[in-house]
Amino acid sequence: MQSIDVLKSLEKLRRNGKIIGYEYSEKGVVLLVSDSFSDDEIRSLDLNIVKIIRMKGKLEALAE
Amino acid sequence: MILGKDEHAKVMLVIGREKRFKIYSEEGWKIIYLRKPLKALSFDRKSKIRPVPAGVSIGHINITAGTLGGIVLYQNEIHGITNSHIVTDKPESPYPPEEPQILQPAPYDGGRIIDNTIGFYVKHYPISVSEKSLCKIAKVKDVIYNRFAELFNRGTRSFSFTMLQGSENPIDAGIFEPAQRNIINEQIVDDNGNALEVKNICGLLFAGSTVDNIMIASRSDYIEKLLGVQFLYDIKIPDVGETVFKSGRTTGITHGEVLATDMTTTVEYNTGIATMTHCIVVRLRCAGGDSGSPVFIPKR
Repeated sequence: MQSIDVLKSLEKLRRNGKIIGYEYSEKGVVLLVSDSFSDDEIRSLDLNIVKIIRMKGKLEALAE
Repeated sequence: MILGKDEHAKVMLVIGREKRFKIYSEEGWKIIYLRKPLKALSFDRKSKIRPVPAGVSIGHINITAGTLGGIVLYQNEIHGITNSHIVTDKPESPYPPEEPQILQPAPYDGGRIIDNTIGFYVKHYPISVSEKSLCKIAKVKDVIYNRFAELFNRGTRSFSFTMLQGSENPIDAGIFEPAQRNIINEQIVDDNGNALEVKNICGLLFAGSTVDNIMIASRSDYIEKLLGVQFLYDIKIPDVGETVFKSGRTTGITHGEVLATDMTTTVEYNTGIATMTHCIVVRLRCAGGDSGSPVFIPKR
């Protein structure tokens, strides 16, 4: 896949709430995903994933 | 027990009322009796501190509490820096807040306008957030999900938002001008209130997950570029795997490993959901009130 296509598909996944975040570079993709996102689902993405960061909670602004 | 004495002034600090103290007293010594041993005074980041170092409680008069990120140069003048959502109560608005006062400690920690105003709002980078969805299908979906969640005692609830196109936010940062000269300083303090030797400033913490001990920060290079400011410490984007520190109002000094340095991610604000870009992601302990904390690399 062209890098622009990878970015488009990552952005689509994030906007649909499938993934929480991503970082794309020439080395590959770092994914920030919910703990409930299974390994099978990640494999089905067909991306060069170099790191997966799993989270149970959500990212929120940290004012008191 | 004698805790200390000054031979020259003939003053003695003691605990208990032993007989030998009476002898000293007869010899002209002044005895100061204490009930408990002396303890080091702990540093309270939520109390009034002057001058104000980075890492302590501050906030706009109409917010709860956040952390001072440090000082920067803006138009050759010293300014305080923290997050947009700490320097104004309306971070999504491109306009200044109605009231400009920044308090130390923050209102949540007892800060009041008369005694605790340390500065006045200057500018912030507006945070574009998605709005709550007006779509009827989305609303029906939320109602059904939430009914089932209630029925099965699940802690989650569904709220649909409309994601605005092109609403990416590279930073969450804003600045204020000090109310008096030297009321804020460049120091970043440890948990005893001592100044740390800082090598590089990497960014400002603005969000995180307290469950997962993951925090995200706006990068110092984007903050300088987009706000037109200059940090007093050298800036550096850390390498993945490097250890960085943060000094925050709630969890103090914590450190952790950098996981990513250019992440695009979804963050929940009080006013909606925001897309944040170019974020540093670190695995370290953080909590509500740490927003604005400086993320830095200390000198070894």
